[in-house]
Amino acid sequence: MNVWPLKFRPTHDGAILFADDAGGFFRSDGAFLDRYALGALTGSDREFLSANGHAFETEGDLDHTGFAYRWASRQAAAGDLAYVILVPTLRCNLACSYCQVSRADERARGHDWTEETLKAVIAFLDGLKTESIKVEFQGGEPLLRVDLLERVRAFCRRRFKSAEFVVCTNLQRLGAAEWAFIDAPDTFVSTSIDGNVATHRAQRTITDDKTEEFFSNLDLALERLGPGRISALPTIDVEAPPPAASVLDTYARYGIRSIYLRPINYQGFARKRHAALNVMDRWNAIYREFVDLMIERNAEGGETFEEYYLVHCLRRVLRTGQDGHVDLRNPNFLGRDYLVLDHDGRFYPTDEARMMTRIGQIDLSVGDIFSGLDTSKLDALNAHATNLFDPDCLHCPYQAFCGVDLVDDIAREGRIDGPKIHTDFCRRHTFMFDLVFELLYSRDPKVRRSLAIWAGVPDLPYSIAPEHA
Amino acid sequence: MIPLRFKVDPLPVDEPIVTRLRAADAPDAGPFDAVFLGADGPVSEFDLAGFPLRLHDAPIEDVEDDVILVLPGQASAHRLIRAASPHNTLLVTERCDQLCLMCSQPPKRHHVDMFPHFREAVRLAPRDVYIGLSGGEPTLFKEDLFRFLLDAIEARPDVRFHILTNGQHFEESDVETLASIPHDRVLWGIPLYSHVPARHDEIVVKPGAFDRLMRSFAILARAGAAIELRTVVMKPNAPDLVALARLVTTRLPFISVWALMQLENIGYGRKNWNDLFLDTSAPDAFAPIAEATDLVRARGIQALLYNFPLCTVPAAYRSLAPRTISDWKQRYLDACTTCSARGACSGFFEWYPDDRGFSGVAPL
Amino acid sequence: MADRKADLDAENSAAMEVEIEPALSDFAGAAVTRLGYLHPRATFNVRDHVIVVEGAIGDAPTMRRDVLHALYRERISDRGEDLRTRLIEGLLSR
Repeated sequence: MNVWPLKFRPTHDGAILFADDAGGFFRSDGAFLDRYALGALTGSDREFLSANGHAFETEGDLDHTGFAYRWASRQAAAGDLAYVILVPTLRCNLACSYCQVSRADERARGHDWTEETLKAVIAFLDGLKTESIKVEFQGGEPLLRVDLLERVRAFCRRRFKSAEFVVCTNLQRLGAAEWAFIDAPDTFVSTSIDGNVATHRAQRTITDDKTEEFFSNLDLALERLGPGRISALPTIDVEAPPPAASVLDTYARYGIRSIYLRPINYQGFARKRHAALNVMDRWNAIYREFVDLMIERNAEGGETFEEYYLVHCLRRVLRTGQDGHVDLRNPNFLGRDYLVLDHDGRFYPTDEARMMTRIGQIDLSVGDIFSGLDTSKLDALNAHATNLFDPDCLHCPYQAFCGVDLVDDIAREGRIDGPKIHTDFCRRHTFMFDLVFELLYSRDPKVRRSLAIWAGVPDLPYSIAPEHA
Repeated sequence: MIPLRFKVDPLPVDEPIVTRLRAADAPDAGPFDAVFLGADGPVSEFDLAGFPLRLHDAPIEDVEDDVILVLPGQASAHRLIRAASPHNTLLVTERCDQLCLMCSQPPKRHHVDMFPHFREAVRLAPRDVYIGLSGGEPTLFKEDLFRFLLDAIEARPDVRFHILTNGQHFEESDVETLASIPHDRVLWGIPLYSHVPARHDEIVVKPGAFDRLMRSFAILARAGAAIELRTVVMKPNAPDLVALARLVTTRLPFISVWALMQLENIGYGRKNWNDLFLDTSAPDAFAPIAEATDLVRARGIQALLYNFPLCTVPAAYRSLAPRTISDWKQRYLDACTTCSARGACSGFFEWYPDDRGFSGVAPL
Repeated sequence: MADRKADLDAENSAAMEVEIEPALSDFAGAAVTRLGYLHPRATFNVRDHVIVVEGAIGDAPTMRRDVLHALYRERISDRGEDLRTRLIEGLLSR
């Protein structure tokens, strides 16, 4: 019998978690680890490993084929470019405390697409191979240039078989033209609600008038668009987090049950200052508090909550082919199926790359709308787009579920070939997958209830999380 | 029951005839079509290339665009394809090399090659029809079957096939042929009853069947074939379902769907009913099905319940039970009269034994 | 009891030795390289049949476990390399 290599990691409660390259996993103890690592497996070890999909007899038999299929289905296949993030203006009518670099003053000049840029954008979209496009408008506040948005949207509706639009807006000043734009059924709104009214005001709207304007526009948008077309996420300041209960209550009031918790993304000096304060550990503690509260609330019956990224990580553990989130997939080739196009016509592989370039840390632009994509730069980045051969990831039981974030590696470490284990990406996802597995192996009925909801089944059996004695 | 045969006045022909029944005013009637002339009491009369074709109890509104087979000297016509039905199954052969304990259509030695007629029938079939191929065991005539499939999917790009096979006859050398069939044109329905080889072999009454089946699954997977895994849930294999679910997630992750099925009380299924039938509406009896479906679905593999009346399924799992019993062998019970879920429910097999069936039948 | 005493000694002297089983001896070099950047404030050296750890050892049982696990990991990935390569090549050649 051949046993596929097993990666392992001690758990918080003294067991050892094992996983193979195709994402098959189980828990056992140190004695099994000794037997396995020293080549002294017993008959019952072999029986378990075979039944749990970690072994095969001969190449091409069904065990081998099933494993190969699962392995292959976990590799993300980047399709044609079909998702573009457009930044038609950098200007904004808010000045949020955490958004210094990705905005310009509302009255500033030279931060919008020119007529030439717009024409080049439309020519670029026209040249895409895909028949189905998703366009996300970011800013700045994109609705300040609703005229540009209208023209892009009108073109896409004509040019593509299917087209979907997302406006990332602060929902502040909405006139007739802005409402008309977001009223369309092919258009979705993504906004920020920073936890609760007090925090939203402190971090974003500052004055009574603007706070009132936002919340009444949010009410109106929910009424006009329905909750299905509006998503919102809170940006949390680890130094002054709003109480978890007040965030859930606020989101519940607006019928938003999937919450994507995100910490303030500090850049440059602010990042260095906060790193010293151990922001990661503090964020993880806050995050955990939110998740625990959601589990409590979900056990009470009625409407349920999920943390968007936790559910995504859970699904990546349980299933193959969960590659819809561009921040977590493997390999993660940049500049292939999605691109960011800035206000000045420059391309970026991710929004993070745009920010980093803006603060002058490093130039991660990959060409521009007038002269095309810089493929040699992309190729250089993409040489590191997989975690398959990374000397740290190779030993990590989470490798099959995890991904690669080249830009984040560069942002934090200044290099893409450094030890992965020291990157923020690695630390963040190690925390996430530790949490996923802790929950999967929990015997708490409340945890089971939430897991079942998040996995989309009536009940999540304990047998989903095998143990080998 | 919907009739699958009609009485016919014998035709003066030497060769079997496959023809399509057309309305009197069908504008595109072709040379192989039988065009409706009129009703003569209970008899519908058609013009078949100059010959009178007389079908008994076959009102034109029920049979329009059906494809039928008339054999020389025989007094009945076979309804090969019913235009108004989503359930059309062509019987490839009555031979089989397994003797499954629950077989609804026990095998016979007799075999007639029907492929030439099926070829005609497919050519005449209505648009977008989904045709079942069954037996007996269709892959006992594997070369003929492959040739038929390759021809049919080329001749009719709109037609799809569902083939029931025991998976005992696929070889490495079939990979190329299987791979040339587009994934969405043919669904192979293949039974697996247990993760324990001996138990599967006992149920299909063929030693070595499990191991042979595992080999075939690997071949089909390499060919990228679409597979509907079928497990009839019975007393002997119900305790195995959870372990079988684990086998599905590890060794069979490439299947399109796992169908857990209720027993049909006909053929060997009738003979062995008392030993096999599991009343899944009884308290706790559904538990292994619930756990098995939860396991594979959490893992991203689709699971469905075939032939389960909705009232016998716990509410949280009813969405997994589509209407699956073919129209021509389906009925409702007296209890169904006042049921609000009837429109979405499989109902019961025509031959369902009211006195030896589910204990939990009740209107929803 | 003996283990605890050894661990206490290790804490005090800020040096400890972890024995290398014969089956793992080929992997000591690779394990030490990796341990070096996982624990940048400790140093690791292979001497005869032991790995000598010096510097910031921290919790001794945990360090002992980490050293053993590093050896295990190197052996596992070495033994698995052929299977991994054949799998990937097999899938790519299709």
